Amino acid sequence: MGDFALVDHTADLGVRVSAASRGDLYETAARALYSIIGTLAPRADGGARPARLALPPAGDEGLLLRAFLAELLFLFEARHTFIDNPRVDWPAEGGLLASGEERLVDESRSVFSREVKAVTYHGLSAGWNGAAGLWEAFFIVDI
Amino acid sequence: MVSLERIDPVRWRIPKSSRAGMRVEGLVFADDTLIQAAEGDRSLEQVANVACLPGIVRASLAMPDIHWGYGFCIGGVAATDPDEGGVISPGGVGYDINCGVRLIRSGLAEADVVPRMKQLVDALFATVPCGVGRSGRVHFGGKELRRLLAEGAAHVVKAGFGRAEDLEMAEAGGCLKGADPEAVSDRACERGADQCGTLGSGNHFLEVQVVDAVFDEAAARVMGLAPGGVTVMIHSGSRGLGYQVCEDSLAALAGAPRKYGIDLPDRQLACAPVHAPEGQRYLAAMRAAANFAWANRQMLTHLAREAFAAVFGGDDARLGMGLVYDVAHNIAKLEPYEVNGREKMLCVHRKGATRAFPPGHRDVPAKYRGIGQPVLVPGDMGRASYVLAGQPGAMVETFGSCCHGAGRRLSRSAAARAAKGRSIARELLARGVIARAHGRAGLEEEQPDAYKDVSDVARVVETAGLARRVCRLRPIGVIKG
Repeated sequence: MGDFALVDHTADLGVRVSAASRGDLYETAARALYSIIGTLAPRADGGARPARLALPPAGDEGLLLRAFLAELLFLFEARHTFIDNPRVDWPAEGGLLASGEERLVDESRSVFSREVKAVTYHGLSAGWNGAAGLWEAFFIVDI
Repeated sequence: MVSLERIDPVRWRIPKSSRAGMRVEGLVFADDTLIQAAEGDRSLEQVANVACLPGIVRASLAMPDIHWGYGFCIGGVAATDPDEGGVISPGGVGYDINCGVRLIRSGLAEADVVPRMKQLVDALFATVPCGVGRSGRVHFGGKELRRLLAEGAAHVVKAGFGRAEDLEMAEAGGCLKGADPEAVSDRACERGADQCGTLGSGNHFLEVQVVDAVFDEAAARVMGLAPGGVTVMIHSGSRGLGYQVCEDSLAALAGAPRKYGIDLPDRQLACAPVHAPEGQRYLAAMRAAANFAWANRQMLTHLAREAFAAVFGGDDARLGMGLVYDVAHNIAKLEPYEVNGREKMLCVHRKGATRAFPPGHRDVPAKYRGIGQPVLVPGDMGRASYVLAGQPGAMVETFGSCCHGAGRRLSRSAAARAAKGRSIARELLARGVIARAHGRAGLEEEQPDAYKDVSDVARVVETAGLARRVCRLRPIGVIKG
């Protein structure tokens, strides 16, 4: 489990993430994104199914993380679902595979805060910080 | 850091020498206070960056509500010449393609409405889907959505959600020709299928207002706006469909600058020549998304009329709820301008900027041709919004463009911190504004103090000759997502 903090960024929100492992970095970034949207409650009457996301190589770690978060955003907006406990693996050929439980959002029990239009490319970074001994990332969401 | 030279009290030049690669100078419209705010974020750098785009004509422009954006600053205007390798850039339009504003007048006066204001705001809040995750009343999917992307507002009017005359009072008739629904991805369609007729969240709003000052009586009369008259202003855009079109386009254009030998100072100015396949595809998809936004605002108009009719009785025609105008403030359009003595079709990007055509312009509806195109400039939910009319100066200096709003003064986090221990809803009530929002974040982050004073912005554009003030609108009720 890692940590995240929201930072000032004019009309939008910046997110700083840090974690001990690459997997925790992605999981924490996902948690940060969902927390910006609100407190999401799953439907109790079913609607959960195994999630499997496959993303192609993306040029660098920041772009790959952004693509992962953009996919989560798409699922939320288009299908009203979120991925519970996402786990990310990185195949040898590049890209990533994410799994978890895709759950339908219970709108009556969820508390929504903000609409996220997109995970932007601005100031995007992700990678291992040797000096800090942590995986770190920064991204900005357009509200 | 860019250099700034004052030209006059409301104009500032960023000389070409400010940074390597600038093809034209920057021109910023602002007074001393507004330019100071611009110097505080990196928006002036963005004006300089945009000046590096291939084919840019005359100047990289910024309106007085300038603030930092992605690629282009908010308030940024740039025209490129496609025949000179001019480019089109999604960063010059924004994620929310055709975010814009619509103003509806009514035959009601403040005295008619105030006694039932709470009932009206509650009715609007119940009728107009707003906030995160809210779906529209009508699901437009599959082939019908593709038709809507081609037809824009006309599609939903034909389906019974509006009047034929509404189309005449929207920029571009509520539909850009040359939209290609097939250029919009299935993902974008899936994201937007149940969002037509939804307000959204963030700075989107539906506001009930009163005309509380008239500066140009003749123009106000033509627009059907009288002192004490009640209006409805809607601020919304292309919703998730537009956001996804931008997202898809940024990915599709990622390799284009390298392919076409374009050296960019900022990756977020990703672009392609307008005439290139990538440029044409973005233009076609952007137009389709713009059409979705017009359909969205048309649906929202219908829902607002329904709510008014439910509270005040009768139908919206009897209530006089006609459309004053609808403007886009995040868009790129091909428009003719004179360049070095020749008429050229230029690609005009308006990112947080509004078209402001003057009296006599052929694209202004006949009803307004004598006074100029209405320009709708929302402020904040505590103070005011403005209706302006386009002036000839806009055609000379800004490719027929003007400001779009107040511009943020506080970041979201700063606004939320400033709201601690306060009830923004109660403060608004003390100012005579009944506000309903889903959750505290909406009101706190969008509180009046988070925005600059739109009166300052309106005064600058009037002084600069881009548009003149017609009337000021005071909010009395607002719903937000």
